[in-house]
Amino acid sequence: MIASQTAASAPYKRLSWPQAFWDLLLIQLANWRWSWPATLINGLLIPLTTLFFIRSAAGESGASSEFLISGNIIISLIFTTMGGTSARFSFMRTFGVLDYYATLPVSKVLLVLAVNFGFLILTLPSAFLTILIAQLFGMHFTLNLTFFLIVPLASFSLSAVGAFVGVVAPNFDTANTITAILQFFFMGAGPILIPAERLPDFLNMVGRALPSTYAADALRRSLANNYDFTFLFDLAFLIVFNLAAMFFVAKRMEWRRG
Amino acid sequence: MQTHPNPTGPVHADPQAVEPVYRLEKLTKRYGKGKALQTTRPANFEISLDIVPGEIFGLLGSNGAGKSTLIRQMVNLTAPTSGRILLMGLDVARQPEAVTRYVAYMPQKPQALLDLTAQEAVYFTGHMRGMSRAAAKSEATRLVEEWGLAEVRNKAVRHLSGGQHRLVSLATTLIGNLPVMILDEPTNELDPAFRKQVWEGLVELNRQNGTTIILVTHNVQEAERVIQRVAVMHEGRVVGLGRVSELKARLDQNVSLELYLRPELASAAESILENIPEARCIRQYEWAVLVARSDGEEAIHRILSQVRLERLEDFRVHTATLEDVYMELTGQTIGAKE
Repeated sequence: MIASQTAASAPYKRLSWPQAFWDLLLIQLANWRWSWPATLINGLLIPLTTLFFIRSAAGESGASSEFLISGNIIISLIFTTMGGTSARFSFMRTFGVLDYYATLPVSKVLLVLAVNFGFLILTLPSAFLTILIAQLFGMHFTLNLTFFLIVPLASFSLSAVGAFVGVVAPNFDTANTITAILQFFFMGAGPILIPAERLPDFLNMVGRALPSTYAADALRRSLANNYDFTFLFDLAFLIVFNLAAMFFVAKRMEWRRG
Repeated sequence: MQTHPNPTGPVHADPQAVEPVYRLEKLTKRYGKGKALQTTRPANFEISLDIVPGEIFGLLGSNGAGKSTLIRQMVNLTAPTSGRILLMGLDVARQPEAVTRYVAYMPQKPQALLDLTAQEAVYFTGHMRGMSRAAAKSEATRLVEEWGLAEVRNKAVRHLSGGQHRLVSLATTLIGNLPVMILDEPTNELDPAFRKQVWEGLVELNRQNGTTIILVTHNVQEAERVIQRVAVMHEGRVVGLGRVSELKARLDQNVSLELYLRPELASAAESILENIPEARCIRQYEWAVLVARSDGEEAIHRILSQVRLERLEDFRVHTATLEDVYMELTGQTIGAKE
């Protein structure tokens, strides 16, 4: 029986998840080695510019300013990576790059994680710069271990959505438009940039179902060194949402065409 | 390098006698949705064939014949509308990991890993296929050198010439030495010396390791030397299937007269050729006429007299080729678009 003979001589064992993830991450970073300065500068300029304008508009309220600054960090870490991941997957889908990965023994979840982490690495400096400038303005933010736990959890939850949009959308422009609408929705529905008390009730209600709300709250509490039950609840919500997102990517994100 | 000894040898006299590597059962693929799904011509229609271990199998067909759709289904990149594909006895729709485990696929227009260097692209592919880092590194180095890429090993693939890019893709397909390789137009954009090296390399791989190689190519004349069995595709169907020698034997009682017309006198010659039922235009100013071997000398003399030698730049007479087989089965030349 040739089939069983050949199956027995199957060439290699599948790579372990950490090894495969590391390879995929290195490929993503290698992809950007020729263009990382532009990406990094872009990542730095956008949050700083936004920060400047939003702070001007927010007036003198210290609490509002801190809310806006932490919201700004959240934008760069979560929404920039979501947009980047969506664009990357749309590109890979359009140009047949996904075909390459689909014929290799690597998991879709790992590819989404690797693309997401690649973008995170590029956007972290902008978050650190924002925190540094905020310190110069006299606002107090702290960086601790929980920050580095929440960032990937928060980032992956929406990057999975971005990757799904990138794969499903028929072309690059449609993927960009859908992602922009979703980003607008996630940012607007829930207390991300605007405190909950200033939002209409229905937006607060909608926000309770969105991972961005919990990601923003958890990050804000981490930056403010404010750990309580709500923080733990945020964390639990993000973990459950991420597991659901991974399951969805593995089972439902189809990278075959036709 | 890990090898896959082929228990039956590289060439199989009877495909029915061994368990196939690939078994395609009534494979049909239709594109579109709703009504269009039923009314448009299927890209593949009820294709059934076996590909046996250790053979070099060719898929021939014009653009739009359904070859790429067929191989995309075989590597599970496109889902069939109906029918089934078994790889090593495993249904690829239910066990897609069979493809990633056993098959190396080289697409017609490889677009992945463009920003990696040539060496990295080959190395990462080998490692992700499960080779150890050291083995992937040394094998990548060997392949890069073997395929003449040593000087550009540290250049991004995106900055390589079309031919070099194709060689990198070929090296990424070869690394890991998987038991089945599917290559879509592997010699496109290569110069003659590299084309020769590719064909020789594939034959060597097949002989030494028993690798099953499935080739899609327009380059019929060159592929004819390496392909052992062939499926001729036309309008989504397999219209001819068998060993190259068997298919050619169908035309063996014929010889082919190829005529190369002088452009300035072509119209007069063509008006005569259009009235000869066996004459077909291969490409601009090139015609072929299949002539019965028994009546060959007289018929060739008659055609040349009618067309007249002064209207010809050149002419050749040869026995049937795979291209003739293709023309006989489909009524078209291999380069024609359907």
